[in-house]
Amino acid sequence: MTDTNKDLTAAALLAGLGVGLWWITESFPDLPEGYPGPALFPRMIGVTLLAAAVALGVTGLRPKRRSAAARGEETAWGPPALIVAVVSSFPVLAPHIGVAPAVCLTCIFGALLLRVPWRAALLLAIGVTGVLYGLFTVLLGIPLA
Amino acid sequence: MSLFSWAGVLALILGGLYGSLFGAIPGLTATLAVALFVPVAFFLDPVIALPAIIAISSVAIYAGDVGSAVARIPGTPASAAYVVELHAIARERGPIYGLGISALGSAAGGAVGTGVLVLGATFIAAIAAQFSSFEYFWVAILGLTAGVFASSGSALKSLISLLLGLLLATVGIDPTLGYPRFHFGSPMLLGGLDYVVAMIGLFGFSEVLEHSFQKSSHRGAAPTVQLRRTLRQFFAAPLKLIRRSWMLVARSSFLGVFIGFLPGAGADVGAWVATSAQKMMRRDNTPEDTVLAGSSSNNAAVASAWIPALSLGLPGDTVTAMVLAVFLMKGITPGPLLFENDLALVWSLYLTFLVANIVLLPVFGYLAARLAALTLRVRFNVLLSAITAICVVGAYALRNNPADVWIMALMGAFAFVLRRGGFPLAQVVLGMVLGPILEQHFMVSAIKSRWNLASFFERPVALLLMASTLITIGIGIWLRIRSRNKAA
Repeated sequence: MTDTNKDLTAAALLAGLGVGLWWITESFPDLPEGYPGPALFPRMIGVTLLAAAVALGVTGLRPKRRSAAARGEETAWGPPALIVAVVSSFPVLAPHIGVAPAVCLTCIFGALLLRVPWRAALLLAIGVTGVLYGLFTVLLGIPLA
Repeated sequence: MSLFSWAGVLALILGGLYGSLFGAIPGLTATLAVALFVPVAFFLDPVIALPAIIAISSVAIYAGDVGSAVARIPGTPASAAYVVELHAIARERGPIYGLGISALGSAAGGAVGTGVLVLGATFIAAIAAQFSSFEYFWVAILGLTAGVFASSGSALKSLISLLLGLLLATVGIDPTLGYPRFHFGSPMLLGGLDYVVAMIGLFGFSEVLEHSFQKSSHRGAAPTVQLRRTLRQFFAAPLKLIRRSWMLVARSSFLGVFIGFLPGAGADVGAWVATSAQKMMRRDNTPEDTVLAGSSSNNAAVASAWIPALSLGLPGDTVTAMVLAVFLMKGITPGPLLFENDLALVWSLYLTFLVANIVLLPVFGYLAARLAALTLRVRFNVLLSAITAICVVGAYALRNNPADVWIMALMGAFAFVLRRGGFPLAQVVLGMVLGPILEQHFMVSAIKSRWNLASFFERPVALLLMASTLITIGIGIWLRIRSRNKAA
């Protein structure tokens, strides 16, 4: 995606967010005597976002430098998406297998996705989990249950 | 019992060590360190307990920079104000030099803050007491305005980042009216997004994602870190820098003092305002200047937050709110009478601030910097794998809530997309920190003046702050036009 397209996409998303904020806050109550209530601040943010989105769209049409992909840098969306998925599995795993094993698994798969060899990933995960668990629970007295 | 008894000295050393651990670990804050210490403080003599709290908070605020230097994860919200610059220095010239600037800047700021605390506690507290919600509203507007123009990139994108941060701050129960907003039926979101969890995602986890995105990352190899002449790197070079930039340090420290004594503002806001002001005033700013500005102002604010606490019994920040609780637990009433009835305690607090900032901070700072330098010798993808685990544990440990890990991951993915689009991240945190202050004081002012908005422009100090905001906007626009013309 070129930088111009990025700015235009961002402008469209932000404009949608601005309009969405107004729509969601419609259901918020007003104060007595009709004065604005909890909807006021989010609406002010929404309106400013909409204005900023228009400005971003206009400036986005100006010629820009090329994006990372266009400059020939190798990029891939797969690994970051998988790392997010691995980390997001922690809250699901932790109640079933315990916090320490869940941290260890997260660290192993995270390391593999970051191209750490599997033996090193395994050792690293065990070491980091041990250190963190010891640090939090033993040294600082913060239970990780 | 005296501060200079063996128990007093031990309390200071252990407090400093404990504070440095909490500050350096992402997810743990100075506030949490003090909160966990309060039950222990209950059993200690106040002459020992209160100085230990000072040592914990002073060193923890500095130690927040260790995570910034090593992994671009600020340990405290105050450190987030200059995380990019400190990390850049650490990558380029080594963490010992970067953390040396931060530690000695913090020490200088802390010393200025202590000086003001000793000399003008009562006088300054009287000024702070004059601030109403109108003035606080304008202080928040001034901080946000400076934040927009402080970014080296597009001011428009900074504004958008700031708005997104302000929007994130509206999640949960409305600070003025108590109405739940944007919680999507989840009780977890009713309390709002914790900005420590958000910060771990925004800065730490997004770094992992960014690195994994680039197949041929230039950051695969660890930087060469010199472990020889570390004393020179940590003390001599930063001292030389401070001597050269003494005006910058003095200005930022006094700004930190000013922000710190405003109840509810504290070190976080102090660091943001000082770094924004520094970036705005000097477009040829070096990363070292920004780190000096931020680190000196946050420790100055830590000391000055005690001014309203001691003189008026009003908390300057969350740490001093807990200190007031310790005072009451011990049967001590803070306020003007404290200076008459318990002068020995007041002087022991002043002395502790000096010792914490001038002795403990550089010593623990040096040890932490050496440890950080060793950490940076590890291959970057191995370090990032460890950072992933630290992000998970840091986010989880804050409330033992697994869902905080989802929030952290979401914030990391959000930050990654923002970075791809060229939007700055620091302004998102600024929005999250100042958002509740801005909204609360706007709504309180509007409601108490029965929505007569002209009342926002009637009080002299409010007018002065509004004029400062307009001047900031004018200078910001002028500087950007000038740099664009120079580039053309």
